[in-house]
Amino acid sequence: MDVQNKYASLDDEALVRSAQKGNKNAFEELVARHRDKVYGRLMIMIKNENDALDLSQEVWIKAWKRLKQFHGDAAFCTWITRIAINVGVDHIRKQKRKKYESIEDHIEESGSIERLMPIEIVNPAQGLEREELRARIDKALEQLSPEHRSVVILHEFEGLEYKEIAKMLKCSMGTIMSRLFYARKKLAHLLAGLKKERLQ
Amino acid sequence: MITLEQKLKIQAYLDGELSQSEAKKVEFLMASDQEAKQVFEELKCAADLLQNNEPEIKMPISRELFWNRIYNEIQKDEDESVSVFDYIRHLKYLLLNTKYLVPVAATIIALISIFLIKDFAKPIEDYLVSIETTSEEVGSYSFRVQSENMFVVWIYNKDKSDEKNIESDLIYDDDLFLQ
Repeated sequence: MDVQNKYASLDDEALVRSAQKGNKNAFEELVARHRDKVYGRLMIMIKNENDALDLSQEVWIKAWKRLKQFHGDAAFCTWITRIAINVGVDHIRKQKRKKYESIEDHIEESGSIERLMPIEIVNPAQGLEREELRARIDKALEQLSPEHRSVVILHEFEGLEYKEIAKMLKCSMGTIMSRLFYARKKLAHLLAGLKKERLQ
Repeated sequence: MITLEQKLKIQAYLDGELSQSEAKKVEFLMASDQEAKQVFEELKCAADLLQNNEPEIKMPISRELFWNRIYNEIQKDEDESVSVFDYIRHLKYLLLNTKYLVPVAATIIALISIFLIKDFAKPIEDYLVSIETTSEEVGSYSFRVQSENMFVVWIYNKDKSDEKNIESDLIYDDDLFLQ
């Protein structure tokens, strides 16, 4: 049995315990298992393949250094995803351009345009293949600002509460509610537009 | 038309973020206002759509290549993190291990001895210093002899020394006072 196969048969818990003792082969298996999840989170957040790849690497190096702090209170996958989100949020903060801090940011933050859009009730079951739907959601997410995307990811994909998101993103609960409302509204509008295109 | 605040309340209701009493108020609003009900439906559809269709993204590079990148960084960090504490840890190990006790102790004694010998082997400094005085008539020199544990001060008449060139002939017997 080669090294990869030996570790592939172990569960995350056993691999973490072994990696905590300094076993890099066990850690490699953890990386192999969860690298797509980490990369996917970062990719959705920052929408840049090279940055997402570099940040994924940063996430795993951080995880290796902090592995002894992991006590198994949550699943390893949840733990590593949290690190990825924090790294992604830091990156977004650093990358925030001046233009976002001025008028455009204000418009987007307040979501004034999207709030005036007509109500769009999208029926996900209508006609689209799952993969196609996912691709369209991904495309629609791309049109949100990184800050709004982060809120959507943390709420819809990670299942965090408003309070937790506010703490993680260091902003008020009101801002989180506003961003989430704006993001949902815009996504509903974009997806409804795509559906109409398809029906024509 | 419902306000933005009411819309955010509807969203919070959808996300289970409201207290029971607030939730009741939102339910009442949705029952009595068609627009409120539509806002709820719209937000619910968008939320369901996202929660059930999270995009799946695969890393564009191979397992081996990605792991090599991580492994190299980890290795580099570990090499750099060899600190003073590691040396202390090694020393502690050497001292606690009886096999190394005698050579380590001998090395430490040898190092201390070298240090002390070096300190004592410094050349003894005897030196002459001129001391400035405010007096126009009297000048002074001091001379220290370390080996004899002696300190000598000459006080001389400036007028006389000017005449006789003090640089070449410093002291006159009648000017000398031993202190």
